[in-house]
Amino acid sequence: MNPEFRRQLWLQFSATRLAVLPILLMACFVAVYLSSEEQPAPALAVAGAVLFAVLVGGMGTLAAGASVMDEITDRTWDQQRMSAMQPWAMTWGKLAGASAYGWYGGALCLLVALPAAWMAEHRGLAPMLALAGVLSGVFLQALMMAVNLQLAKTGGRLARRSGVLALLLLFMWALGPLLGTLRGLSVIWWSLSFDRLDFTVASLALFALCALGAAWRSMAEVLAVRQLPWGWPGLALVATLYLAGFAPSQPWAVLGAVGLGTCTLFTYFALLAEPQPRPQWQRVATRLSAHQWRAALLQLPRWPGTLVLALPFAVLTALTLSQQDARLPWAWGEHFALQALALVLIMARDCALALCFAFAPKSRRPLLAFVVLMVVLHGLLPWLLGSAGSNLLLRVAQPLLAGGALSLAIATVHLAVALGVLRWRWLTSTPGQR
Amino acid sequence: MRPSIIEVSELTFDYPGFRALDRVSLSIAPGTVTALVGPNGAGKTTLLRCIAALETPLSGTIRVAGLDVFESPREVHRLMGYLSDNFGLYHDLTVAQGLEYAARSQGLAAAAVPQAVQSTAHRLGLGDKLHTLGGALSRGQRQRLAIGQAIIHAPQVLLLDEPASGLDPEARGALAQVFLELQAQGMTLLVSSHILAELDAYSTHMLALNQGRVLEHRALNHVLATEAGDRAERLLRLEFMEPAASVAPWLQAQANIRLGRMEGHGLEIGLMGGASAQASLVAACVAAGHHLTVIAPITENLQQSYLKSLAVNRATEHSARTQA
Repeated sequence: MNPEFRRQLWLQFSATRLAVLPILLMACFVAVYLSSEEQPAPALAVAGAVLFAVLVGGMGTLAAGASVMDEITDRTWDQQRMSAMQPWAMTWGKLAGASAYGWYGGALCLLVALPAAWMAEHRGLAPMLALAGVLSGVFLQALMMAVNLQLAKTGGRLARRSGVLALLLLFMWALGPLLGTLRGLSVIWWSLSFDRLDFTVASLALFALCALGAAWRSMAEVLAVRQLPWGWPGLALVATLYLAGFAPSQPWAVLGAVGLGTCTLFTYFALLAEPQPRPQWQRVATRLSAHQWRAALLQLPRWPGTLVLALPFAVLTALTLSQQDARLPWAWGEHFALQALALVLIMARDCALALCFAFAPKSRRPLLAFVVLMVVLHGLLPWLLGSAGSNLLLRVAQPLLAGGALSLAIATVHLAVALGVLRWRWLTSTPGQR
Repeated sequence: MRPSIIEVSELTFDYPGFRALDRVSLSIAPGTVTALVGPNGAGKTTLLRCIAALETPLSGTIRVAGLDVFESPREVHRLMGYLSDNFGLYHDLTVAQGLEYAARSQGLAAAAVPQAVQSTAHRLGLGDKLHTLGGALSRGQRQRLAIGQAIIHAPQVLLLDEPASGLDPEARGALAQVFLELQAQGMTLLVSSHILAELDAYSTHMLALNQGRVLEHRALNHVLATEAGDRAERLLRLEFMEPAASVAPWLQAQANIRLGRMEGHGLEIGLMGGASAQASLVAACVAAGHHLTVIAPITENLQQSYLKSLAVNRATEHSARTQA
C-alpha cells in the first residue's frame, strides 16, 4: 500500500471517528424524514446531496489542502521531500488519504440520496448527478492541493492561504451557475451536439483530470523532480480548446482570440503567483551559457511557456481578423488585428518589469511594487491622459489604443526600454559574499 | 585509495543578494565520520541541503554513490538519511507508526519493515516507547526518533545537521555511541555541529567551511595514526615524579623519540612505532630509574584544530588585503 495513503488513513480514522459520522448523518436524515410532510424522498435526496457537498467538497477539500500545509507547519516537509516516493505516489497518497474521511461520509450520504432520488422519479438523473458530485469533489481537492503546493514554494507567505480559500469557495459557487448557463437540452461544442448533463459531467471529468495533473506537476516540483515546462502551456492550450469550442461562428478567429486571452491570463497569473528570485534566473543563465539547453528548460518558471504560446495565437488572430469578412462574435472586431501582436509585446514588457522588481537586492515586496506599477501603467496613466485630452501621449502610454502598425511600433519601444532596464538591474545585482 | 561515496565538484549556491557556497569541491570516503564545522553563515546547512537534493545550486555537481543527486533525487534518497536542524515529528503517530512510515516511504521492502522498526527502536532506546505518540516524547526521545527515521532504511550516507542540539550530556553521549555503531557498520556520516567537543567523540575527518569556501578538509590525527600503524608517529604525554627538565636529556638520547613541549613534571613526545615501542619506553624508564607516573596518547582536539585553521585563513586574507 502507498505509504503516504496508509499514514493519512492512520491519522484520519479511529474507532470513534468511524462510529460518530454515521450516527450524526443518520440523525440528520431522520430529522429530514420526520419534518417532511408528504413525500420524504425528494427532501432526503436533496439533504443527501447537500451533505455530500459539505463533506466531500468542503471537508475533503480542506483536508486535501491541509495535507500539504500541515507538513510545513509541523516541520515534517523536509522528511517528505527526502523520501524515495515518486511524485505521483505522493500526490495520490495525500489526496486520497487526507480526504478519505470526507469520502467516507460522502459515500454514506449517497447511500441515502441515490435510492431517495430513485423513488422521487429522478431515476435517469440520479447516477449522473452522483458522478458529477464525485468528479467535482476530485476536482476541488486536487485544485486545492495544487494551489497549496504552489504556496509551499513561496515559504513564509502562508497568509495567502486564506485568500486562496476564499477564491476556491467563490469558484465552487460560481461553477454551478456557470454550467447552468448552458441553456437548452443540448450543447453545441465544436459543431457537435451533446446532452447538457452529459456535457457537464464530461467537462467536470476534464477539469478533474487537469487539476490532478496540476497537483502532480506541482508535487514533482517541490520534490525536486524537475520536469520540462510543458504543463502550464499545456493547461492553457486545453482551456483554450475547451472555451473556443463554444463559438457559434468563425472558429479560427475565436480560437486565436481565446487562446491569446487565456495565455495572457495564465502568464500574468504565473507571474504574480510564482516567486522570481534572481538565483533561479542565474541558474537558467548558467546552464544556457554552458549550452545545457535541457537543463536550462528544467529551471524555467511557468510564465515563459504561456508567453511564447501567446505568440502563435496572436498571429492567428491577426491573420484571421485581417481578412475583410472576418469578425469576432463580439463588438471590438477588425481593429484588433495588429493589436494582438502588440499585446504579446506588452506582456513581454510587463514580465521584464516584474523581473526588474524581483532582482532588486533590497526590495522587500517586489510583487506589490509590480502590481502598483501595473495599475499605474494599465489604468491610472491612460485614464489621466485620456481625461486631460492628450490623445498622443495616451497612445504612447498605452500602445494598444494607438491602432494598427503604430501599436506594434510603440509596444516594441516599450519592450526595448524594459529589457534595457532589466539588463541594468541584472548587472547591478550580482550577489556578494555574506 | 578508496573511491568516494560523496563527490562534490565546483558547487556554487546563491541566495538572493549573497553567495552561500563558492566553488566548493570535496570528496568523502565511505565509512568515515566527517565533522562539518564553521562559523554561523559558513554554508554548512546549505551544503548539507544541496547534498540531500533539497536545494538546487547555481552550478556544480554532486554525486552520491555514483548517482547525480539533481538528476536522480529520489534514487539518491534511498541511499541517504537526513536529519534537519529544524526537524519535526508526526505528533499523532506512535513511535512504531512513525518508524514504519519512514521505512516504507524510503522504499524498504514490506517484509523487512517490522524487523527494521523493532531493531531501530531498540538501538535508539525507544523499544519500550513503540506505542507512545510522538507528541508525548521528551526532547531527547524525539531527537532519537528523528534519527531513527533517518537511519531505518540502513542508508549508505547519513547527513546530520546539529543532531545533538538541546540534548543533555548523557543523551549526547548515547548519541555519540549510536554514531560510532553506525560507522562500524560501514555507514558514512557527515555531521554539522557547533558543539565541537561532541564531534571529537566520533569524528574521523574535519571539513571546515568559512564564507562558503572549504578552509580545510583532512583526516584527524588519530585516524592517520591508525591507518599508518607502526609507521606513524604517536603523540604521547608523559608525567614523572621528578621535574621533566631532568628527564629530558635521557629521553632525547633514546631512539625513535622526538621531544615536544615541556612544563613542570610533564612533557610531550612524538614516538615512532606502535604499542610495542610504547611498552619498550616504559620498561626503559623503569630500568633507568625514572619515576614515570603517566603515559597517555594526545588526541587531536577538534576545537583547537578548527580555531587554528580559522586563524590561518583570516591571517592569509588579512595579508592578501594588506598587499592589495
